[in-house]
Amino acid sequence: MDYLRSCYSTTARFKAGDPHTSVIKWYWAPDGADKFPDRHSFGSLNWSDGSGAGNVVGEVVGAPRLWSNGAAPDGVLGANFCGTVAEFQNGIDDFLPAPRPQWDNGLPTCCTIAILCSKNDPPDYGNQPFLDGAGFSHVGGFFGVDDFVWGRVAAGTIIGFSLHFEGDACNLYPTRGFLQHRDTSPPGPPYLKECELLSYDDATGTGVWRVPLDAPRVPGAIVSVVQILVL
Amino acid sequence: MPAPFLPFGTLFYQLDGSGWSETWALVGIDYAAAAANLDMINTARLSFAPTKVQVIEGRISDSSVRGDSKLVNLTTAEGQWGTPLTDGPLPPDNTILFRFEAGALKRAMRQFHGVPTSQFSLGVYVPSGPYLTTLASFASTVVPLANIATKIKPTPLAPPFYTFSPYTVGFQRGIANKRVGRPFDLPRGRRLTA
Repeated sequence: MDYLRSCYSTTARFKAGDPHTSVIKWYWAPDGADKFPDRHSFGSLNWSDGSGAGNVVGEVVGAPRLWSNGAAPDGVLGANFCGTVAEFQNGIDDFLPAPRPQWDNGLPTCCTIAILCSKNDPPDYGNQPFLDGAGFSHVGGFFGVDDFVWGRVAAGTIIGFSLHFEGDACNLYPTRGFLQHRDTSPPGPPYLKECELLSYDDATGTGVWRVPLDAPRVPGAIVSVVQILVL
Repeated sequence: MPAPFLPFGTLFYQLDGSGWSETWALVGIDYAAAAANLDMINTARLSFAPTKVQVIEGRISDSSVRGDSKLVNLTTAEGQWGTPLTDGPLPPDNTILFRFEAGALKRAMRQFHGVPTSQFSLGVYVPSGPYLTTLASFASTVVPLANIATKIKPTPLAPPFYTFSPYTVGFQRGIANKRVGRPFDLPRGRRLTA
């Protein structure tokens, strides 16, 4: 959203012309977080210089700004945002009739987060191929929530994957799978793409995900290293 | 009548454990044009900085809206002058001093952190011919892309809040000194006092 030397909390207005304000808190973006894709009106007022410019939404001019340590809420990935770009530019049209559902850490469930539980050691499958484009791969073994698996695939050929879960530490079933592009040769831009959960069998703990067709590919790459996060 | 688009562009730099920002009143009729100009300024700016100087990000902001912000991708990521082994930077507080003018009556002095050690001899600033050429090239690149911003006083009730005067000439004026700040993007706690 913006750049800061130090984080703080303050109040902001989300609907133009409305007297209600809400407390917002700046925190450091986690590694790999996406940038907001367009201009917005919620930049830090640290960068305004008292020119007289006003704003209809965003931080309230003159409101106290209390220092905070910038620690991100647990599980934040920074992979998406709630609402629309237009709402971040011009404010919301109206308030929701009820608060959004929230994760345990207080963030709305429309924010993609990692499931909050103890992290297990990730299995490393090294150069094991996931699949050759003919179908879904199958990686056996034990996985808990928040585990992830590594592997190499031919660029452009991965269309899906399945994972077998034999237990989890949080009594939560994995429902979201992500394909994360890491370092490649040649290097490409990092991305994090949510994959569609096709099926999940509670009895066997097996989930099948499909990689979205619009997942970026690395032009000319022979192999890519991908990371599949199971959240 | 809508207010004219008067964008400021800010570049965030870091060098070792220090960070600073450089803000430009940009030429540009929209965000895309302003972003392209900021990118060109950054590339020219890094042409005379040692490789240890790195840009973190660029940011465009419409001066008529407080809190307006758009982050910008930049083409050049680090300083292009010399190599880390042979031409490291002086301490970040040292700066190259430039003077930009907008006509005969308006001028702006700008200081740029990240001075190559190779441009010093026995502690004296002795820029080489190629370095002076690079500095001149930077100035000539920036002149058509930026303005001198002057606040309108008394503060008007509606935008515009600035007058932008296009640069007409720019040139370097030697070296200077300016304290550099803390880096961006790093979590930092309160200073311990006991």
